[in-house]
Parts: sequence; C-alpha cells; structure tokens
Amino acid sequence: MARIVSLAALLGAWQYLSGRDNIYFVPPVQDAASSLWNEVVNGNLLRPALQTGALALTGFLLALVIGTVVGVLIAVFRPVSYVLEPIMSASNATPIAVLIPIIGIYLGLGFSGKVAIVFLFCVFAVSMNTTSGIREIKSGILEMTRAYCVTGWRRYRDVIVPAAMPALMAGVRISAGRAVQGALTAELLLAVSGLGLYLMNAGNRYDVPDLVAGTVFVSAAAFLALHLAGRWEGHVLRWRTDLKN
Amino acid sequence: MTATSTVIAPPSRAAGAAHAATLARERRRKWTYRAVFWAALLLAWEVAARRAGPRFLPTLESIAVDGMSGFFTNGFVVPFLDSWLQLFIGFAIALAVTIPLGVLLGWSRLPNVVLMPYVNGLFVTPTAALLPLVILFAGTDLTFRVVVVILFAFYYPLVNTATGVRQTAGGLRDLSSTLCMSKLAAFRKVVVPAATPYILVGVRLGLAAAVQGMVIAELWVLTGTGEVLKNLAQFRRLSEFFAIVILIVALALLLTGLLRLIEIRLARRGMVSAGES
Repeated sequence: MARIVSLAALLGAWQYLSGRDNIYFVPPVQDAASSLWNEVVNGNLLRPALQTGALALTGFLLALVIGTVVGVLIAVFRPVSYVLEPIMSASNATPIAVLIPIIGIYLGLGFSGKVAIVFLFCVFAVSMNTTSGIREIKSGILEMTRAYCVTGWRRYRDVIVPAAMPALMAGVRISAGRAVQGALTAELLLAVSGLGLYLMNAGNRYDVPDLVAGTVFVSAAAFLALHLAGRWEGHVLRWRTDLKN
Repeated sequence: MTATSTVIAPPSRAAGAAHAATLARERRRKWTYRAVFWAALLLAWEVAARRAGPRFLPTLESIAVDGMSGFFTNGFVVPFLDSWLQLFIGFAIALAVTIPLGVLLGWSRLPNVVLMPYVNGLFVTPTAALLPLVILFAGTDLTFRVVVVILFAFYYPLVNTATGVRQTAGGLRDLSSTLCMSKLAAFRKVVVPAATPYILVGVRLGLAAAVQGMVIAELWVLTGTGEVLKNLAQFRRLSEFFAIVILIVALALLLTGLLRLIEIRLARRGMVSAGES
C-alpha cells in the first residue's frame, strides 16, 4: 500500500516537473510511456538489445570460465595464492575504465575490445568468490571426506565443488550485474553500438521521451539479467534445504 | 607482518618458538615465490615492450622515467588534482546523504518499504546508461561529474549502513530498553558502535565505485584526467599514459587500504573491549 502511494507520488512529481516550462529534460509521463511502447514494438530497442546482450553474455561466460579456474587454483595451491591473490584483490579495486582509451590499440574497437571490458568488469569478482567459497568449506566436511576415503577427482566432484557452490553462484550473480554495466560502458565509451548507440542518438537528438524510454528499457533488461542469474543460482542450489525457509 | 606471530597465544614457550619459526619460514617462502613470479611478469613485460616498440607497449624504464617526469612537466598535475577534488566533493555529498538515510532505512520499516525498490532499481540500472540523461540536466561541468560520482558511489554506503543498523536494531535495542536507556543514548552507545564496521565497509566499496565513476564521467565529457588519458592514448604517448594510470590506481588502492586499516583497527579494539567487559 505504502509502495503504491509512493509510486503515485513519484509519477505525480514527474508529471508536475514536466509541465514546467524551464525544465525541458523531463518529458510528460505519457510521452515517455508511449515512446517506450512504440520503440519496443517496432524493434528499435529490441534489435540493439540483442547486440548488447550478446556482448554482455560473451564477456560474462569468458569471465565465468577463466575466473572459476583461477579461483580454484588460488584456493588449492598455496604458491599460486601467494603470487596471484594480491594481484586479484588489487585488480578488483582498480577502476577498469582507465583502460578504455588504450583497449582499442590492442584489441581494436570491435567486438573483442568490448568483450575485454565486460570480461575485466566480471572476472575478479568470480575468481575471488570461488576462492573464498572453497576456503570456507568447513574442516569437518573435509575430515569426513577423508574418513570415507573419498580422494582425487571424486573429492572435488562430490564434495568440494558442491560445497563451494553457494559462494561461486553469488559471484555469478554479482557478475551478471557487472556484465551489463560493462557492456553499456563499452558501448558508450569504447565504440558506440547496441543500446549505447540508441541512448547516444536519442541524447544527441534531444529526443527526451526516447532517451527516458531507452534508459528505462536498459534498466529493465539489467533487472531481467539479474533475475535470470538469481533463478540459475536457485536452480543450482536447489539441493540446499537450509536455504529454503 | 610481525604482528601475526604475537597475536596467537603460544601454549608453551618451546612450542611457541617452534610455531614462530614455522610462520617465519612460511613467510620467507611466500615472499620468495612472489619475488620470482612478479619479477618474471615484469621481465615478460619488458621483453614484450622492447619487441613491440614504444607506440605499442612502453618499457618499464620509460614509464618510470619519461612517463613520471612527463606527468609533472607537461601540466598533467592540475587536471589530476582537479579530478580527485571533484571525486571528493561528490563522495562527501554521497556520504552525507546516504549514511543518515541508511540509518533511517535500518531503523524503521516504513521508509525501507517505500524507498528500497527505488534504491535497488537505481543500483540494477547500469550507471553508464544514465550518462546521456544526466548530461541533459547537469550540463558538462562540475555538476555533471559530481552527480555521476554520486550515482556510482551511493549504493554501498547506503545499504551497508541500513544493514548494520538493522542488525543491531533487533536484539541490542531490546537489551538497551531493558537497561532503561533512553532512545538517544541507545542509539549513540549501542547502535552507532555496532553499525560502524558495516558503514566502513560500505564507505570502502563506495569509494572504489566513486573512482570508477570519476574516470567514466571524465571520459564521457572529456575533462580533467579523463581528457588527458584520451589524448595521450590517441597520440600513443603510452609511457605517460601508463604513468598516470599507475598513479590513479595507486591512489585508489592507498585510500581503500587506509579504510581497510581503520576497519581492522576497530575490529581489534572491539574484541578487546568486549573481552574486558
């Protein structure tokens, strides 16, 4: 109930602002809504969304594979953790955007350059979550594994990987958000394309209803990506009875 | 580094000495690995740089000498300081708004129910996608950069403060009312200390995001360090480019490292005072 009231108040304030003459950057609610509807129906938003989605997904999957492998290596082999862990945590706190001006020199301004940005946005979170997931496995579980003589490959497949799964999937969920962030950042700042191109064009035309519609659409798409990642997490962890309340 | 061996209480003097020796040996091993591997990485960079040439990859020497001296002599210091000033203005505003708001969200239910959907919605939205919209009402000057920094930085301080306050709000609040503390005293003496570690983590994460926001804002409207970086990359003055990147990253790491140090200090003091009472 309180939410409905607040939403109504927000829309009311929006509508009030759009009526003021000196504020040109707030379009009337119905203009933005009809613009959103039209642009979705005629495919002007969906076509670039597929492009952006492909970019985000490629970088995300690459980061998932490489981040998991590196995370496992760091957790399992102590020398690897000595040399790589400081690099990982420093990179995670580094503003990746500083690399945007030079990525073109090495990877070009096409798909691979943009994938590299998405990858760098995601990979450190995946790796660090994997590492801490494996490290935080309770020693009792590992002791029991030893007591039942589960060794080698089966120890990883049946015990360590499932036990580390919750942390790993948390990394996946965080990275899904960062992948969309990275994709939009790359599409606006590295080489304009996809939804970035759509937003840029609308902004340059001063077509404010289209711009607001595009921004809302991007937000909804990001929400969908996070929702799907959450569903995947729930599916993978469905055996964890303690997570269901 | 030496603190680790003194924190763990040895069961006996001999065992303690043996334990300390093991720790020292492990530490030596750790730094040997690091020295070898990191030296190999730098060597690989150097070899690659010499083969690729300065227009593709600058050598370490040219970054350290030409790049760093270029930073001071070619007038990059002013935009660099300017960028960080903008960052701190934006970050200070973000904290001044989000921490009190976070306290409110953690303390009572109604603001939480009403506001959290918007907070989460804004968090989910890729912040970069807001740039074309922000530029319409904030222009391209100081306001724009400050607003972008705020948009990047607001989430973690807000949500962490709310979480910290909410966690204490339940049990400890009951306890303090049992002890006949006034609401204000309970807030000052119970909720604030208990929530401080959460807030600090939020500030640290927010700061890292704010630096990212600063860079993105400046690359978008081409001012300050962002403009400098873009130009240097365009003219392939890579030794200066990498020198500035190293300075930005070093400063970001230094600041987040300092916050982390405060976190650890507070955590340690918290444990001591809990043990004393």
